[in-house]
Amino acid sequence: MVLLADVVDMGDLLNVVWTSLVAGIGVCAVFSLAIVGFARALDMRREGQAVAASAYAVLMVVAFVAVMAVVIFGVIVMTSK
Amino acid sequence: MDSDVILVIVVATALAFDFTNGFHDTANVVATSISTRAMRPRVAVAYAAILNFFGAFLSLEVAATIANGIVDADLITPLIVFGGLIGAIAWNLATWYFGLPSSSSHALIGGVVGAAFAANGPDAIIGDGLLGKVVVPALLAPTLAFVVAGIAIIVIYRMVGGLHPGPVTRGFKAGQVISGGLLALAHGTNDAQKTMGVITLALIASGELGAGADPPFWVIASAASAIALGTYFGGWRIIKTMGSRIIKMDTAQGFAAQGSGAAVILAATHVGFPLSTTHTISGAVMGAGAAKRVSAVRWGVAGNIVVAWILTLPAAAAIGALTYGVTRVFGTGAVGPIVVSALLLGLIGVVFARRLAQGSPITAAEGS
Repeated sequence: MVLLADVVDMGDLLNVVWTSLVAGIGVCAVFSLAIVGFARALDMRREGQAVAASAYAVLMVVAFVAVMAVVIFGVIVMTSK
Repeated sequence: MDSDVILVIVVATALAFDFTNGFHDTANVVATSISTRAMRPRVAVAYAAILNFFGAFLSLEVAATIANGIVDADLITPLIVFGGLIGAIAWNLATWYFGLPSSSSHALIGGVVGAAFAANGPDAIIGDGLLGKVVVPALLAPTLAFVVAGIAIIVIYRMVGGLHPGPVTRGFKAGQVISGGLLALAHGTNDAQKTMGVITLALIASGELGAGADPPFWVIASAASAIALGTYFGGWRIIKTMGSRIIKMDTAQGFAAQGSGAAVILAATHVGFPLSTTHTISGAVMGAGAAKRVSAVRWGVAGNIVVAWILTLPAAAAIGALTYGVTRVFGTGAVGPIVVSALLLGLIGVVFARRLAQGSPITAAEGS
């Protein structure tokens, strides 16, 4: 009888599971942070709070850059497989 | 002379398969973007086609693995490759006809396994390879994507729940352009290479290339062009199933499904697991829907999709074996492939005529 561990590398299997969970949920959370920054910056600007609006805009930009960095890393992973 | 004719037919059939692969799998990357109106249908399909084309040039690692480790490569002949390709094309057409998103990769593997089994018996099949490289990832990918997308959408709703819906919708529409693009690139990289690998195997089997040779540039360019063209002409039937029949999605769910699907594909790619983009994104779509409300998922449609997944390997294998058997009735020359190709073209003509007569469930103009 063939055991699953004989035909599949269980270490790789676990790597796929945790990497997918961290990357998938992490990217969605960080992109949501960018949207929170975007939406709050609009709200603050409407209310005339320039400093808070700028702070939220910075949050949006930083979160967006982080997401783009992950996307570029993903492309590099694909090119090096 | 006969071997040259067979080789030309095999290469043409492989490119036809590649075209159906793009045609069939377009839905995987663009359906959620279209259904949430993040992109207009024709723009989304053109965007995916361009990224599919460039994705095909990114790597050559996967190109030969479609046959290595699953069947005994020493026993592969152009006629076996031909039988496998016909099995895959026939299954792709059948699932397209019914609007079901099944895996083109598994169809190709099933076809080659079936044809190799018919030609050489069970010794031609590497059972451990089939289980470890195809069956286990086939179970893992959609399950994992389901879980990741489910958790991701819960996190997203918690973070953006109290905000005005306008900026949130606009933000996730922009996000879907990024996540959909990444999926398209991954699809082009993985799936076009499978066709490159099959053509290369046929060239090696016929003596045109030496053992272990990389795909020549014309093979890479033609495979990239075929999958991109197939994607551009798009499988609107499957787009409808993926985009709206499983669940009605909002932009956040679309982003969560595409982002989670891309994460699973890239994580698996990083450790060398081959998997199906179709299975992965289907699982993610169901997960993003079920996490919001279990009853939001049309489980009857989802069940049909799962049945298509389970049937893909054995059905394509059976057609591949049958095709090999039919071609061998005419000997080892070019007559068999010519007869089978003519029959397939006739069948394709009938299928398309019937579908055109019934009308398409979604068109480029509808959603634009």
